[in-house]
Amino acid sequence: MEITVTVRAMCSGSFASGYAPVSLPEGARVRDLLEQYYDSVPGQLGMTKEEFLQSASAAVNQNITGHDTPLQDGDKVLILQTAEGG
Amino acid sequence: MYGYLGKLLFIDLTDQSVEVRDLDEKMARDYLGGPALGARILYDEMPANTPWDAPESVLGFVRGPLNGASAFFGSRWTVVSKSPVYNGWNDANGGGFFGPTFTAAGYDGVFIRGISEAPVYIFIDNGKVEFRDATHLWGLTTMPTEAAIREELGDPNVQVALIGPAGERLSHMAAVMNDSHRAAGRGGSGAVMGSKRLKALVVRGSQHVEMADRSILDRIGRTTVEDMKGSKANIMANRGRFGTAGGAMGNVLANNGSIKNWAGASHTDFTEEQAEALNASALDEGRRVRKYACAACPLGCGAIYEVKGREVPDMEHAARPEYEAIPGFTSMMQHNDVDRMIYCNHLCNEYGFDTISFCGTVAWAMECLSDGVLKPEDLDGIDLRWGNAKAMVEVSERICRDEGNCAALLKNGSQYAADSIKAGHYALFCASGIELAQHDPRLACGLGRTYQYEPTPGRHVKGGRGLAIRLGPDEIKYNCRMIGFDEVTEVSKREIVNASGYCMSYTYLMGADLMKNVIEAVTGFHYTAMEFRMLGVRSFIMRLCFGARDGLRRSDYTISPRCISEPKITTGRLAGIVLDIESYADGFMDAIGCTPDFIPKKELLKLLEMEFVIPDLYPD
Ligand code: SF4
Repeated sequence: MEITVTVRAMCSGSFASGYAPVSLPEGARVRDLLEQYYDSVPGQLGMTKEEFLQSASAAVNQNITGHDTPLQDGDKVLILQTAEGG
Repeated sequence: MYGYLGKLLFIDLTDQSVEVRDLDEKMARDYLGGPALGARILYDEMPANTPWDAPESVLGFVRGPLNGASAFFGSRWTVVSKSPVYNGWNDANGGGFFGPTFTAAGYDGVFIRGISEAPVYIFIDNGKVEFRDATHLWGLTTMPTEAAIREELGDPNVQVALIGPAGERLSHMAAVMNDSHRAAGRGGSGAVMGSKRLKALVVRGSQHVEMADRSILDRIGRTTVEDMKGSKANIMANRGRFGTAGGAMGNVLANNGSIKNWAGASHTDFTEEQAEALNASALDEGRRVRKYACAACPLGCGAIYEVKGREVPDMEHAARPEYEAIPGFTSMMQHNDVDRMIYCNHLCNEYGFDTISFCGTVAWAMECLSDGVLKPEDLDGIDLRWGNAKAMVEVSERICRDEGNCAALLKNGSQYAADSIKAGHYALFCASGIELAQHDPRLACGLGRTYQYEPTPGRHVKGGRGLAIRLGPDEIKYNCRMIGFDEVTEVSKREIVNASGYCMSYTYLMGADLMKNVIEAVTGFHYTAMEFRMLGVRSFIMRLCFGARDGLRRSDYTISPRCISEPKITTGRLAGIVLDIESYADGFMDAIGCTPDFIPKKELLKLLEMEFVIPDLYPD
């Protein structure tokens, strides 16, 4: 299936601007997308995959959902990672 | 002693007397510096239940051993006092160049009691103390004050920690400022400084701290620089380019930053299109004139803005707002007018207000006026309703300039205002009366614990698991079982960061495990892994004991109902969540060695070699 994704994280990497199409296997969940994103920016987030998964979430079609939410063809996903400080 | 000057300075402003004492090596090893050392000293120097504005009340400026040691990220200095907000322990730290210059001036800590007859500033010049009249500076905002002091002393390089008009008027939201826009903001230490009629502490000097093993620091420094060009280049490109502002848009859309005074939902009450304006590159566009870095920082997360010809007064030297102020002055009030947000942030810096408390207070007033709890005349007729950015500016200006009903009602923060009108408590978002930072405690039980059960409540920069896991899976972030050990681990680490003088951002470029190596290389102290953990625990417990001796107990550490999702939220990502901070806190208190009433157990105090506290907490 194909979904469109944008990223608002400390390191937006290859998903940097606008919504870009991303292919995922049928049955993929938010967690799979987050892992795919993490793998696409190797070593650049300055944290382990587990740490990233605990600091990131996703809005699917403008609803923030849990990591186990199944994705569907045509979904519009916003990957969010918060930052500390200020 | 490596890493220290070995000297503490005690000043009494009432008679302008000065006393220098040696810093005991064991005390340095056990408390390191910053808030921990400050709490240890104020515990002895201030009698129990001293009012924050009494002559006996002590205000301290304390360095960490990394200040001036050329350790990357090691420039944060700390101000300590009793808090006027919650009448307990207060510490807050600032960056910039004050910390290293304070070191060069010759003391590990400066502790000030008494009340000056007339406004005064203290100049410490290479160890020598001078009291200088500040009558002509009283009433000036921060940047002109800094400039005037530098001109008066004929030295553009003196460093100045000072208060603005907020501190002079004893506002509970008053910060201690330095380097134009760096704020040791939280908890109202600026009011304590104002109560002493102390406008500024000015430092200069040429003294150095000896390091135990410079070669280790050099090696870590070289690796960090290599990483910045290699594996961490992307972090540099983001955090180094956009600083904490880089997280604003994502934080708001993730419902971590406030929307509609914490009652709104992302996407519904603040849309993705609105949030685009908070994107750091959009903020920088046409405004950013240069980068800003604290001393010894390879990252440089700050930026200086110039804002001209827009719908706000021109600003020539404004700081790019830190993350906290961005949602605070936009989505929290349901608008995305970033020029007005930058202006309000600038006003806070100039008048010396803590931005986090300030925007929380204006948002509270906005909700109360929108709901009819406040009447237009309570806010001088200003139409401070949701989304009205212009009204936000007008109210902010009035608070800053101490004008009208706006200032009278709001100058001491939202809880104080609600208590004074006996209404509007439903719209508060406070812990022990201080507004929370822009990280929603409803996203993780641990974050709620950090905000509520902490000697300095309301801070996102104190330790705990919550901040790191707040966007993770529900089964982790809302789990309250078996969390104690990990929670104490995180608390201990953060305590050591603060006590040593590290900036929290050091983890972006340097692994957390390097911290122990760096501290040992600077100080020559050696700690086993358990001793190092207990070093952080001691810091937390020492800060806690300051309030505990005054009688503060668990029930005194309050939190506004909205912070714990009462009434229940029905829309957005927080709908239906069950937040059990109390169970989480039970696990934490037990693991760290406190009673369920949040006072340290005798056995823990003995283990930490803090027996001197036992007669105060256990008089029988
Ligand atoms: S990361 Fe930012 S706040 Fe921290 S030391 Fe560097 S410039 Fe200062």
